[in-house]
Parts: sequence; C-alpha cells; structure tokens
Amino acid sequence: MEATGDPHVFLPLSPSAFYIMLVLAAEERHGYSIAKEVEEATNGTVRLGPGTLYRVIKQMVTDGWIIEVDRVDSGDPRRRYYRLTSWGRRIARAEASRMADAVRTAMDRRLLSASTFA
Amino acid sequence: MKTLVRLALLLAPREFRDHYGAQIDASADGDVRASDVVDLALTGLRLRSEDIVRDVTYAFRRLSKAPLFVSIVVLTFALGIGANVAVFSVLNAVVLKPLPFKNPNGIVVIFDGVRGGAKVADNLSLADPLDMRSVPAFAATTALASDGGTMLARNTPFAVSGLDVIPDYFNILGITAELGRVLAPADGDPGVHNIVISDEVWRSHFNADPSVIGDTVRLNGVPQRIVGVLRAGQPALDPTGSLRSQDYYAALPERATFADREERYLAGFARLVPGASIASTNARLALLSARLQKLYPKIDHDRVFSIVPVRDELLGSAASVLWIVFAAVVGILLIACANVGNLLGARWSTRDRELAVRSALGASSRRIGTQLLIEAGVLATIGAAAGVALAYGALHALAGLLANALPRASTVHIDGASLLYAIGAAFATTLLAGATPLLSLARPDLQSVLKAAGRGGDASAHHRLRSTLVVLEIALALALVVVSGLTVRSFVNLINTPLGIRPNGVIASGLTMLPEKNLGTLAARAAMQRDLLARLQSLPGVRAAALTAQYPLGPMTNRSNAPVFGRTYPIGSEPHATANNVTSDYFRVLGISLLRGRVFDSGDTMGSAPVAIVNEAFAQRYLQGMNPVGVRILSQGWNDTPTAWATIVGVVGDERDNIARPPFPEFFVPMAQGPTAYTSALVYAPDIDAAVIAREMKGAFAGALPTVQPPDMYTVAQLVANHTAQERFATILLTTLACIALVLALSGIFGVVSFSVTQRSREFGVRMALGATEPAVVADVLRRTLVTTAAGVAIGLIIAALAAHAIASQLGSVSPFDPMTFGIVVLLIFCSAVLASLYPALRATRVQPVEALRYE
Repeated sequence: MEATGDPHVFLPLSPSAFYIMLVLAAEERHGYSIAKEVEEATNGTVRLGPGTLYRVIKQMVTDGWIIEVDRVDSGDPRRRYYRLTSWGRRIARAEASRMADAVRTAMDRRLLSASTFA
Repeated sequence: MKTLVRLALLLAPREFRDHYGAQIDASADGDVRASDVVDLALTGLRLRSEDIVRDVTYAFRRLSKAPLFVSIVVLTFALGIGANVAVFSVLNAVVLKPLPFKNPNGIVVIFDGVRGGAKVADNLSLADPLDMRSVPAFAATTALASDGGTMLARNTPFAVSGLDVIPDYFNILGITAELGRVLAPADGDPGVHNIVISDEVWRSHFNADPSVIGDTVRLNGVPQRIVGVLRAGQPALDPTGSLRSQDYYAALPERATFADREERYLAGFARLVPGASIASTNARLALLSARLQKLYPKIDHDRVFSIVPVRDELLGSAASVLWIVFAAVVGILLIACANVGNLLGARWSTRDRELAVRSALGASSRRIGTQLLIEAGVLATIGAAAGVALAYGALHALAGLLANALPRASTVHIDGASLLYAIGAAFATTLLAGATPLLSLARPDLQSVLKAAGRGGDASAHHRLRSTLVVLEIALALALVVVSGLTVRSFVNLINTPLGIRPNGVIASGLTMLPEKNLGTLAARAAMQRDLLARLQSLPGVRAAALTAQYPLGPMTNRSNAPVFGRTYPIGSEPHATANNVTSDYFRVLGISLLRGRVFDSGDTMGSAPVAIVNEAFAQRYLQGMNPVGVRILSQGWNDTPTAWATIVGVVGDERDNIARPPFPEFFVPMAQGPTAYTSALVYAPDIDAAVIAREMKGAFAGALPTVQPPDMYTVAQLVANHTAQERFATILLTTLACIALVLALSGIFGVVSFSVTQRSREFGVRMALGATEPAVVADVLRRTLVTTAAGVAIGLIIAALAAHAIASQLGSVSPFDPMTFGIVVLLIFCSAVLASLYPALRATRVQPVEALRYE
C-alpha cells in the first residue's frame, strides 16, 4: 500500500513509533533486534516491551509506514524482518525535522548549548 | 518466565497471536523481564478493547443507515424486555423477597379448624395460644384481633386502626420501639391501659414530641397511656394476614378464664424453634386438640389446630397468579427474539454478498460472527434501556391496580435486581436472536452466495429457518391468547355472578365504629343509630336507608353457630351461619325479596320478643321440610349484644358475601335488639349521581357522629371491583400481554411473507409472464402462510392445553379446555395470519414481468 499526502497530520509520533522508525531508517531489522537497538541507543532509558513493540509494528504495517519483508533469518526462522517504506520515511523525516526545530528554539532560549552535541 | 509470556499472550486477540506469537516466543528465548510480561498482558487487553470499540462503532454506523429496521427491532425488544422487567420486579418484591421480618421462615399462622372447606384462622380464644405454649416446637405464640376507632389526643379526634395483641407478638415479628418500649405481658393485666403508637401517628398527631411517653389519650372513650413509639417502616401482620402497619397496639391479657374459652375471635401466629417442622408440629397440635376436645367437650369439640407458614397464607393465590403472568412475559420475550431473529436473518442474508467478499478478503468467519452478534447486542442494549423506561412507566401507571390486588404491592419498584434482570434479558436475547440466523451464515460458501444473491432467489435453508421461528411464534402466541381468553371468561363470569342484591342505585358506607364503644350502653348505641338513620332517610333522593353490621362483600363476616331450639346435634354439626344485625329497610335497600313471613318493623324493639329472619340457604340446609316461620334459633350476641332464642318471622332471598362462593346460610336480627358497635350505612337512591349522594351521606355521618371520621362510600360496582381486584389484575395483565404476543407474532408473519415475496419476485414475474393469474399468485402466497400457521396452531394447542391445565385452579367455573375459547382463538389466529400476509401477497401480483427479468 503506497499512501501519499501530508505526513504532518501524523505528528507528533509516539516515542515508541519514532524510535522504531529511527532503527529501521538504517536497515531492515527483525522485531527483537529493534528493541535491543533502541535500548542500547538510549543507554537503557527507553525499553520497548514485546507487547508495545508488536502492537506498534502491527499498526505501522496496517498504515503502510513499514512492511514485512520476505527474508528468512538464518539463526531463527520464526523471526520476521521489517523495512521502512518511502511513505514511512517521509513521516519519520517530518518528525525529525519537527524535533530539530524544537532543538533550535531550545538553543535560542538557552535551554541547550552547542556543547551538548560535542 | 517463558510460560508467563505465553499465558499473557493469550489475552491478546487471536489475530495478533497468530501473526506475532512466534516472534514474541522467539524473543522470549533471550532475556525476559517481569515488566515484559506486564507489557504483553496490557497490550492484549488494549487490543481487545480496541476491537470491541471498533465493532460497536461499525455496528452503529451500519445501523444508522437502516432507521426503520432499527426502530422495529428496538421497539420489539423494548416491549419484550420491558414487560419482563415490570413483571419480574413485581414477582421479586411480592413473591421472591423474604418477608420483612426477623427470620420470616419461622413464623406460622395458627388455624383453628376446617369449616366449609376453608381453614378458619380468626377463631381462636384467648386460652388457645396460651395452651399452645406447652408445645415444644413453639418458641412463642401470640393471638390478635383487629381493633380501631377514634383516638382523642391533644383535643383532636382522629380515626385509627389498631391491634389487640398478646405481647409476644413483638418478639415473634421482631418489632422494636424507637421511643419508650414495646408492650410487655404486664400491660395486659386488669386495670392497666397501656398502648404503643406508630411512628406515623407520633409524627402526624404528636408533632414527633419525644415527651409523648407517659401521655394519656382516649381511645373510643377509654383513657390509655402511651408507653412506646414503634420504629418507622416496620410492617405488621394483621388477622387477615396482610402487612398493613397499624396506628396503635394494645395488650391482651396473658391469663385466660374459663369464660374466655367461649369467646373465639382471635387470629394466631407463632414462631417455631429452629429446626421444628410443620408436619411434626401439626401432629403435636392434633394431640393438643384431642385433649381440649375431651376437657371442654361443649366448647372445644370442633377444635383441630394446625399451622401453615405465614408466607403461604399471606401470598395466597397471588404467587401462582404472578408465576402465570411471568411465564406469559417470558413467552413474549421468546416471540420477540424469534421476530428479531428473523429480521436479523433477513438483513444479514441480504448482506451475504458483502460478508462473503469480506471473508474472501481475509476477515475470519469468527470476526464476522462477532461483528454480527455485536450488532444484535447493540440493538438489544438499546431495547433493554427503553424497556426499563417502559417498565418504570408501567409500574407507575399500574400502582393503584397493584395495591388492591397484591400483598406487599407498595414495595414494588425498579431496583438493582430489576436492572440485573434487564441486563440478563438483553444478553439472552442477543444470543437467542443473533445465534439462529448466525448459524445459517456459518458456512459462507463464496461461489454459491455470490451466484444466489446476484439472482435474488430465496436460499431455502434461510427460508426454512425463518418459517420455523414463525411457527414457534404462532404457537406461543396462541397459548398466551388462549390462557388470557380463559382468564377473561372466568373473570366475566365472576363479576357477572348475581349477588342477590341490586346492582345499581345502592351506596354503601365503610364500617364505622360508634364512639365511646366501651362506655356506651346498648341504649346509647341505639339512640346514635336512630339519629344517623333518620339523617340518611331525610337526604334528598333517598328512597330507603338502612344500617347493617356488615355490608355486602365487605371486609367483615361474622359467623356463629345457630342451633334450633329443642334439637340436639352431633358434635360439630350444629347449624353454622353468617349472623348480621340490620335495620328493617335493609332488604328493601338491597332489593332482597321476602319469600315468607315479614321483615322487621318498628315493633321489634329492645323490649319486645327477640325475632330473626333467615335466608333461603339457611332454611334449605337447616330447616328442611318445615315452615321456618315460628321456629326459634339461638342468636349468639356479638359485639356486646345480647344472646337470645329468637323466633324466625321471615325468610328472604340469598345474597353472597363472597362472590366466588355460593350463598352461605345467614340469619338476621333487628339492629334495635342488638345494636352493634360497628355500623355501615346503605341507601337506595337510584336517581341521584353516586358522587353527590356519597358526599351527602358523609355529611349525615359528620352530623350524627361529630367525633368520628366519616367512612368511605362505595357503589355496588366498586364493592365488586374491590372484591375482585386480584382477578381483575390478572385479567388486565394477561389480556395486555396476549395482545402484545399476537401483534408480535403477526408482525413476524408479515415480515417473513414480505421478505419471501420480495425474494421470489423474479419467480412471480416469470410465472405471470407465462400466464399465471393474480388469484393464483395470491393463493400460492397464502397457502404457504396457512401451512406455517397450521403447524404453529398444532404446537400451540399442545402448549395451551398444558398451560390451561396448570392454571385450572384460577379459572373458577370455566373449564380449562373450554372448547369455545380454544375455537375462537384458533379462528382468530388463522384470520389474522391471512390478514398479515394479504398485503405482501397482493404486492406479489404487481410484479412486472419485465422488471423481474431485467436483472437476469
């Protein structure tokens, strides 16, 4: 399903959805490794339980933001791999730029300094 | 931990489990934390509730496109569930809920014996309950009599009802005082005049003054000291077994003299010790009765004590009437379910195509089934809500009818149990109405459905199912209409029973107690009665007036033994008759004919020889083969009037004191020779409006007895209505329910025939194109209806016969298998079935062949 339109109507995304999209933006992943990657990238502050993870995945598949790919895992055949669709990528990009705007504003108001990114 | 993950996964909808279960299982091979299990469980619940919300929203969206369908179904459910909730609420309050007493199952009514086929409850002497204290099964015994009259408190007279009780009464029922105390045995000692009053009297006549304890009031002229105020909201038991609460209670003595054994006017109640059985107590009471028969052969020869649970005595036939009505409303709900089942089936079968397509697109048949059931559930829920509102309105409107017809009627309202019942009914109707059509959709075979729907044929499986439901509807409706028809016939018979008195132009007053009952001499009573009678006679338009100690179909029946002078009777077979004290015009007012001798006249006074008049039933039963005039019978004084051998001077026609029983032997004595303390007035004023004459009669009472509250006035029709309130209640209710059942069944027939005609329009078109005539098409449609109806009638007759047999005892003189009722109802059902299918049948003839074939 290839959806089109204004991605901004879906913003802001839920943190779980955004983190999943961030992981999938790099490469195809299976569910469990998405959760692991999110946990590592956030130093353990964000944990996606299996229920939340697959509920969000199910919803994103239904909405056409990600798709299940036909790929068999060599280690465990039960695993399924997911990939960001181009529609999903546009939504993730819109969310990232919304956040970037917020960061810029925060820096203007001196809530953040450039050293934060160092 | 892995097991926990699998268990938590079970909470999620099957679709989610099927798709993601394996992956979640795989990730559970790694590290799993407790928080993961919680997360999984919460997700499962969230997905499920989202599904339900989605299905309900979907159901609402779909239903909003079919307002006519929704209105019909909701109305059907509302009628069915509403009738159920209303009747259940009454059944629950009157029959199912325990009586409002402490451990009500241990309370029993004491009967004195059996006379004329009926148990006699208010014929105990003061000695009897005291003798019964030797029976170990009794924890406590009491006896009581209705009393009442005029209370004079703080210079204001007002009418009161009261009970004279042996003080164990309060322990037996668990009645307590909020102020002061309840009565104690010492309150019945000679010279002690103590009473307790109700909370209601305390508030309305003593301004809820707490210093009322110790105050003295005058009760029918006698000073009485108030020793307690009873807690509010405690029902009482009176001698008739009703739960009316009383204004005051006075104590009967706890000692009985030999003379007291002869005074039999009390009703008795007792509390059994835990574990005592009715049967073994009755056996023990039989021994006691035998002993008393030996000890006091003259007085107690007819004693056969027995007990019955107070609940049985209180409810009487009300319980069976309510169960019959309840069965009727359950029948109506089943008819409603069948109707809605057919409507849903028709609606869903036109959606076969949509459902088949959705199923082909991957929706599981389980999901589709759930969605359809939820659609039915939404309809049932709205219907149940409307039904509860209907029930509330109906109970409100029927409150007056209920109050006359049923004990405990004031406790009837829609409560938590009613709402629970409504929810249960909504749930059951969802399953019943939804499941049947669902079964026929269980195997949507894509190909055949797409083909059949495209051509508009009536799939025969669907048709069979719908016809079966209509057959059941007709059967149930027929049974209900038969039962209600039998009830109506029996009721019409009952109210048209000749009472032996004029049906029109007579007004009767309720009983009034003359003031100063205990101080007044008989001469004073007679003077008061003469004054009252003169005032009544002088009212404009009154052709005749009379006073009586008991009015026709009234609440009081005084019966006594009236042996004939010079005869001896075997023990227990003395003449037993109603004894009434009346003024001379009693017979003229009521239109009772004089058959022999004379009626009373002004020559019959306190000083002249005692005289009596007997009715025909008395003469036939006890004075057979002789001229009654001149015979002397024993007139036992009651209400402080003298006992005397009275010479019979006349024989009059019979009147009934119970509409459902044949006239009882009765004798009359002149009021002037036995002026009773209780008086009712009767006038014959055929040319005056009943309301006007009733008002003037109240004026006469107020003039003659200024300290007494004037009684209510009744026409004979009102007396009959009061007397037959329970039968009237059952008749109105069953007739209403039968009408609802009939309308539902007919709309069921109409719906099915209409649907079938629409589905077969192509067939009709083709047939008419090939030369079939209009009458032939109509006949074809009607033939199908008649076959269905005949099947329904056959089954219905069986149900009706069973139901009629079950209620035979309620039908009086009408046979439960009354051929006329059965015949008329069967005819009615056939005619209405034909009428209901006539319109759709005629529509079938208007199918244009070209139209029908266009879609081919």
